[in-house]
Amino acid sequence: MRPAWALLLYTLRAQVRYGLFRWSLVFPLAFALPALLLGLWGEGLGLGAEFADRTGTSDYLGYLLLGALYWSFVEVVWSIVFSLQRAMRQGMLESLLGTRISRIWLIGAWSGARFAVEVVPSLATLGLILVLSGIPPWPRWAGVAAVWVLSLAASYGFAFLLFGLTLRFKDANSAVGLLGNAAPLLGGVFFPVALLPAFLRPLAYVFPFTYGVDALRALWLGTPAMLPVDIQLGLLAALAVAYVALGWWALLYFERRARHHGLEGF
Amino acid sequence: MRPILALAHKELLYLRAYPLDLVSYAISPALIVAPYLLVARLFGFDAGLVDSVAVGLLLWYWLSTLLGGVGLGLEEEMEEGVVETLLAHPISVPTLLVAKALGTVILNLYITGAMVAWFFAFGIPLLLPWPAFIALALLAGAGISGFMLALAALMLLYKRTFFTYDLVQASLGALSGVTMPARLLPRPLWIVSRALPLSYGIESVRRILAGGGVGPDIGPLVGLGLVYFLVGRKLLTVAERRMRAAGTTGEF
Repeated sequence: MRPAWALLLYTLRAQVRYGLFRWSLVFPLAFALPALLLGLWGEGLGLGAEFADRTGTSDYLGYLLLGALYWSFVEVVWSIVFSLQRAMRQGMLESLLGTRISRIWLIGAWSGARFAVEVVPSLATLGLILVLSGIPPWPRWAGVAAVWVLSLAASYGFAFLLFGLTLRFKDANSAVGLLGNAAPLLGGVFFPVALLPAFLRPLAYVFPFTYGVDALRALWLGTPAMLPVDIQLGLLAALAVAYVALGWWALLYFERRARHHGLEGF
Repeated sequence: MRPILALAHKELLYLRAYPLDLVSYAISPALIVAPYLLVARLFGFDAGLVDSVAVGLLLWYWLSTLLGGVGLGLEEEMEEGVVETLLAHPISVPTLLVAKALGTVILNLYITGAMVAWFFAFGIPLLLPWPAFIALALLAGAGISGFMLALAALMLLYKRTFFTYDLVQASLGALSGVTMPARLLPRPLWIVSRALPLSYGIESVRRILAGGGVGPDIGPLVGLGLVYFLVGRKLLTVAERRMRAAGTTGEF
């Protein structure tokens, strides 16, 4: 436990030293900005009613910002592979694996540091959503909390998989690029997934965050959900368990392969 | 010229060593911009407006890749601890950055081809005069070279500059009218947009999409680009001198 705590503090200090938290303050807003500007343009063209028809709410600012905030929360755990890649580039990985930190604590320490540096500042956007869209009715708070917790668990499933892929193929950018960049599209972060081309929709339905963000919008903004919210939460939970199990298996498998090929460096 | 070609070749060899990158570049960029296209559809934009957004996003992505490829280009060398070795060679930092720009432009051509194929799959058959688009993209790339040099200077001094890159990239996109025409921005922001070369690049590309010529935007694009280049060049020289004096060629 203590070595993992020390690693977390070390990672946190390095991130604070280089001011990485500053981007997190504005990330959800910057991520949503092109969509928000489209919304402003659409509203100027008198197309706000089209948006309300398709989403069930006229509050496009809250709708888009909530999606961006959810995504910044989900993504932060995945980005631990950049910590892994950095350790490989700097030639520290073998030393780290030689310490008494287990794989799960290593991931926990890196993701904990990223959480502190990236999620906490992004709460500024939460304040903006509260101002624009108000607070969800209190009976729904438990549902909102369940969405965040289950989504976090599912994120770890993906993080394990990406960790294993990075150990094996070294270059985290491509692995995260493939999965991470597809996720906002497949998950329907800014739109209902019914708008996706037909060939992408099946992928969206096996993606846990599709149910997470849709349920979150339904609970917070009262938009119509794809399925009853209870069922969506059940699906999110089932997919979270499945992805964690699959991710852990993949991590162990790829690490074994990576050790066979020579683990360290590029 | 030979060092530049050799270094650009080295950059491209990474793709052979890590072929998963090529797969990622064929898929990821389109998926990054596609959510914004679907938001345009969500508001019921007609085909002409969606095309206008698509071409703005295409040029923005092209230039963002170039900005990152050059502005953050030395990060890997810093992490690997080879910057000192490179500086000991008779190859200047600007030469290294030009090679990275060349490698990124070649990569951008590949990315653009893949993005257009994806747009087609999303029902957006972007019918552009492609030679004119590529020429404008290269010109716009030269127009923001000052920003690339300034970012590279910051990287030499402060080592981890993703925050600044992301902020510059997002601000350039919003203020240049990537998804909403800059003329619709509030007056103070519109004035700022007139000082950005990318604004003129995007307006030119939209004009050729509408079947017109490049119009009068080339002058400000080149003129402003030159001013930013000179400022960026100066910043890079100062940053390199300070880095050498401080002896911090890696992270600290």
